[in-house]
Amino acid sequence: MFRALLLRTTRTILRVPALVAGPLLMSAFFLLIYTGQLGKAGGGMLPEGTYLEFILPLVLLTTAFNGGAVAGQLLVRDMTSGYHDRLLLTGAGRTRLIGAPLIIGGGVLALQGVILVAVSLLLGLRDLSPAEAIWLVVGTTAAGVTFALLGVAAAIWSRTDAAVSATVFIFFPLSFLTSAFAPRDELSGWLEPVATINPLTYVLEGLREVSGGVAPAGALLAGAVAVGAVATVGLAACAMAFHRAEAAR
Amino acid sequence: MAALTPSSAPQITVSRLTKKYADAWALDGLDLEVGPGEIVGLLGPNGAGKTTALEILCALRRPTSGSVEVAGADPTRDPSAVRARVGTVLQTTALDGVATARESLTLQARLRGVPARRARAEAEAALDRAGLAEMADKRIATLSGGQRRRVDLATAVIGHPRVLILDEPTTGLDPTSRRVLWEQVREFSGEGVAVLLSTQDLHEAEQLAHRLVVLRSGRVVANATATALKSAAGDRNLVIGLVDATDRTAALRTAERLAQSAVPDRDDDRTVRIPLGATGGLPGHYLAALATEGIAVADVRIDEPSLDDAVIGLTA
Repeated sequence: MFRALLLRTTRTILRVPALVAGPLLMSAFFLLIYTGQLGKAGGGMLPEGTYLEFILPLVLLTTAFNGGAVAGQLLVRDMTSGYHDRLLLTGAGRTRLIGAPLIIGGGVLALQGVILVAVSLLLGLRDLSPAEAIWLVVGTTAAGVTFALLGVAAAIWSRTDAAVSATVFIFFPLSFLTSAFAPRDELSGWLEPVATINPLTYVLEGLREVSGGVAPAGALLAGAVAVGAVATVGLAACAMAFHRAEAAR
Repeated sequence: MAALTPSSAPQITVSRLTKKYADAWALDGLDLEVGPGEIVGLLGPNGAGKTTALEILCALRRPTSGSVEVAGADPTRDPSAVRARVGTVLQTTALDGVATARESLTLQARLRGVPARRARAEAEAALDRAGLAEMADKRIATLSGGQRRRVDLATAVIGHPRVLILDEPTTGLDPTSRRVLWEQVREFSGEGVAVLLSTQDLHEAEQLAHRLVVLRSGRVVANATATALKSAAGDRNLVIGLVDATDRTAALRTAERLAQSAVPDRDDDRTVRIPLGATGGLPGHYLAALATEGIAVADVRIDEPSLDDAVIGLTA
């Protein structure tokens, strides 16, 4: 039964390529622009490594929440058309119906991560070991699935595409209130304390430790903890949304 | 009604069902039964509680109070069992537009627990039965409204449910598609499936349903056949159209001689109306008497209250 749902979600994504191609193309575009615009100037302020190694995690992070929103969008698509209720009537269960887009969404994110790492290598990223390349992809996927939980919670709660899009709208600016373009100790005035309390900073720096960019010691562990914390919030939000949906029946 | 045997026990039993939303009672003590092979039409104005009742029966909503049993299971306690035994067509056609008809039906079969190797065969059989075999590999978004509704019904009957719940299944369909769908519903009823059909189309209700249940403000105000509802709404009238308006006075006197009351039609000075009541032989005798007196008759018909009149009278 769950395999049939996974197959259905995969088929939907393949037949609506805009769901996947849009975020991927946008990420690749920004990767090119950041390195082209800021490569020389940005590289000059780094004690070590290239600007590409420094900026790649930001591109992977934005890919994570744009791509992570796909699971929520697929759910909203079904909810607003009434198809979600039709599937509920089969006895498939809400958990399976939500799990399928989350899992396939994660798989798509992993693929997007692989493509972006490959593009980075073509742009001159240092040679990564297989383990480092895998860690970058796993980190992107984990971050994306975590954000997807919030998108899914928004979908169940509101049954509107606007609410799901709002989760991207919230995280996108948050991703810039981090050490996005410069190491944390180079940030000026109010931005450094804001970046310090922003959990996305630690996700970014965790990815940066793997990509070879400048990152504080223990950044990978701190990033994993940050992803875990956001995932806990996401799971709690999903549970509350589930409960509300059941109570409204 | 004949005593129910275990094999003819109702497939839907609803007793004192209530449902409250905020301050409003959508259902306020609904009682209902549908037997195997029976088609029961659920009628009532917008807001009468029809869709709420159907959603409770197919375990999409929970009642506030009351008891419900559908295909031997309680939708509140055992929603999975109900969903496995009940096929539902919701008010709006709800299908996956990017899937083909075959893929959509195969998925439905899988989600109802049909093993993978049989699911495709069941889907194809359902498409054949719905007359959609040629559309099997077309994406649902490219099908017409009528074809999509037929896919919707085919989806509902995958897995051979014991109960069919149909919420305005023919809304928006052209007359041909509507007839095709009616035939399918009659076939399922003939196979012993209990059908509960909500509709605003009283002609459809009269054509399909063995019995009609009329709701008003969440309560049943009538539970009878269409014929019984119409009879209760008023008398049938024999309506005689005369060739010559000057013959009307003579026609009225002839009716009085036969000990029947007759009234002139208010809108037409050539027409006479006679309430029929239980006068089985009156039409023939009266027409013979008019012929004897040389009163020429242009047309004859029997008027009876329509189902519209009956339902409006009950729900006003």
